[in-house]
Amino acid sequence: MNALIVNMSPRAKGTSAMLAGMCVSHLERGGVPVERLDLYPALQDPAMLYAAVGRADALVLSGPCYINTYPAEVTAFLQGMAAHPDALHGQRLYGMIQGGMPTAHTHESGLRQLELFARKCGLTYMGGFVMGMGAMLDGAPLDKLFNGKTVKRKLDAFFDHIQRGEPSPRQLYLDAQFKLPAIGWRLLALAANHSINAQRRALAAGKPVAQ
Amino acid sequence: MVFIMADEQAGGAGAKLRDRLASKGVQAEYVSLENVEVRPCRNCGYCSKKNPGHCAVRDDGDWIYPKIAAADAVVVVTPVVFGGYSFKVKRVLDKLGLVMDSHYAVRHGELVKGGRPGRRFRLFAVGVGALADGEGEVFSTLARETIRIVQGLGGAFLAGPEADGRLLDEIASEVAKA
Repeated sequence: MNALIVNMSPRAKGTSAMLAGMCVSHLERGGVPVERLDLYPALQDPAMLYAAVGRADALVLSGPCYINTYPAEVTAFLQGMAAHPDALHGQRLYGMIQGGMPTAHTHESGLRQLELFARKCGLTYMGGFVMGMGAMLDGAPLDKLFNGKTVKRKLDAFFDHIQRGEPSPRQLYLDAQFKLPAIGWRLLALAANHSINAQRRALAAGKPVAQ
Repeated sequence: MVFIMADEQAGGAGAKLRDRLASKGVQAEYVSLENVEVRPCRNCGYCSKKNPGHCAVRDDGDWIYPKIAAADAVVVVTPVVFGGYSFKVKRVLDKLGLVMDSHYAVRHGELVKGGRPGRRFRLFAVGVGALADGEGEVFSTLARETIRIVQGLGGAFLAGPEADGRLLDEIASEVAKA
């Protein structure tokens, strides 16, 4: 089996890229030949991009969630693949999507779109992984998440499914969701808002703001 | 004022909707995205950290986002592409955060964003085209999630490939009520 892992974020070192990198390492350790691409530069070279898609038996697409689904460039990518049927031969398709909000349903539409794409284009959708609070990481390792250990364990199980060519159940990422009672979320919102306000005050005072 | 932005691949449904709204006495501004270019969001952090509410890139977003911010309701007319918005529409929506409050709130036990400063954002998504099984449901869910995250109001409508007059009337009535 050959796998193509695509980082579908405009950022080469953000959280989607980090997840793509984890997937690459996991599959390589398992002896799977892996090719990795960053989508945004690859879209500038469609012949190279769709040739890579054509070589793969499994596609793993990792991207950020912008307004509840993947960014516009991913739509261009999916339409591009649909327009290159010669590159499509029933590949297994897995998705990863991560965004700032902690709830899976906020980001899940991205995976559902991949499933529709697969159905329309004769690929085999095998499931995906939704990770909340990805913006908090900003590309840093998972252990910086409140639920980092759980997410890591569930992601490893997800990567195992990819390695074995199996479907990955939705429950896997639902079990990795960080859960708090409403009061917990209120405290978290308060802390985040305090940090935003401090940043705005620093900006207004002409002080440097941490990136 | 209702702001309608439409991908022309949606078969001119945006302009028809403007006319339906006008016949109900609702003032609407219609923008075709045909020749509009909003460059991709690069997640560079400029709008959140360096200059809140402003994009680092100068393009047609300079005049589109102020219209979105000022409108009583925004109507997005798009061909349904794999259950989602078209590329052109999504390019605009990807930077919707520019006109939203970046603070957090908790609604119904879940974390959401602050929404539009001052008043609730009203978004109506009109999906046009022949839909595959399940595609309409994915599109509607996607729009509902967007409305939920910005604490907004509105909804999703599904029009067939022809976007027939009766449905456009229904949509216009819903938008007019908002």
